[in-house]
Amino acid sequence: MENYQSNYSQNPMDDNNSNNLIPSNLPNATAVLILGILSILGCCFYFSGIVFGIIALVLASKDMKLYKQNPNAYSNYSTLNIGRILAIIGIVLFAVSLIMTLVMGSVIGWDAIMNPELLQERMEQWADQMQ
Amino acid sequence: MLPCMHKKMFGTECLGCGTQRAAYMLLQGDFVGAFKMFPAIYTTVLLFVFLFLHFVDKKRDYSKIIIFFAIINAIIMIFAYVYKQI
Repeated sequence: MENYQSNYSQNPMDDNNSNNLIPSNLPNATAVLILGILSILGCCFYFSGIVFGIIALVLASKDMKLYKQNPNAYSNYSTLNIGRILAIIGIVLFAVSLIMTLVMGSVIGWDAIMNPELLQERMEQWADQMQ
Repeated sequence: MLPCMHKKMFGTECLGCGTQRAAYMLLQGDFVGAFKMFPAIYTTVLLFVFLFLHFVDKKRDYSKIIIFFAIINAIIMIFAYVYKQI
């Protein structure tokens, strides 16, 4: 009982919003989810993965603040959370492919990366060296 | 099919390379071939099924299962990618 009351008195904003019987939606949740999906799908299209991922995270952090202020007033927090995780995974996938490309580039040589035949040759050389 | 920008720019395959080919194989019924082409294809399909359900069915909360599949998906993609490159 005490907790309940103190929650109310701590945050005067609460009173306004939690009196609404119908919980409202977070403003950017669906946008964050769609951007998150795009950032996973876009890991191929080189910069789109990280661009969509970062926009999604920025929007998500705004909404997270709104939600934290007043968790009872919003109904679609799960959408926001899914979108945020998908955006993080999209960024991770982008980072892994970037690191892998850099490693490949430095091991095999940047000239060979653009040239499939030379690449094949260098890969075989490298495999021989490893054995 | 959409070309891979990463492959065009750097010549090497990216993490998502093979998804479209694997999805096409899946539609043709070549399940083993799809798995060999892109091992994460099944978790990707499940992920999108649950994402679709999340949009359609508002009553239930699919967030945990979606996040679970997304993380599994990313792990499989990274392992398969490293394995394919080496």
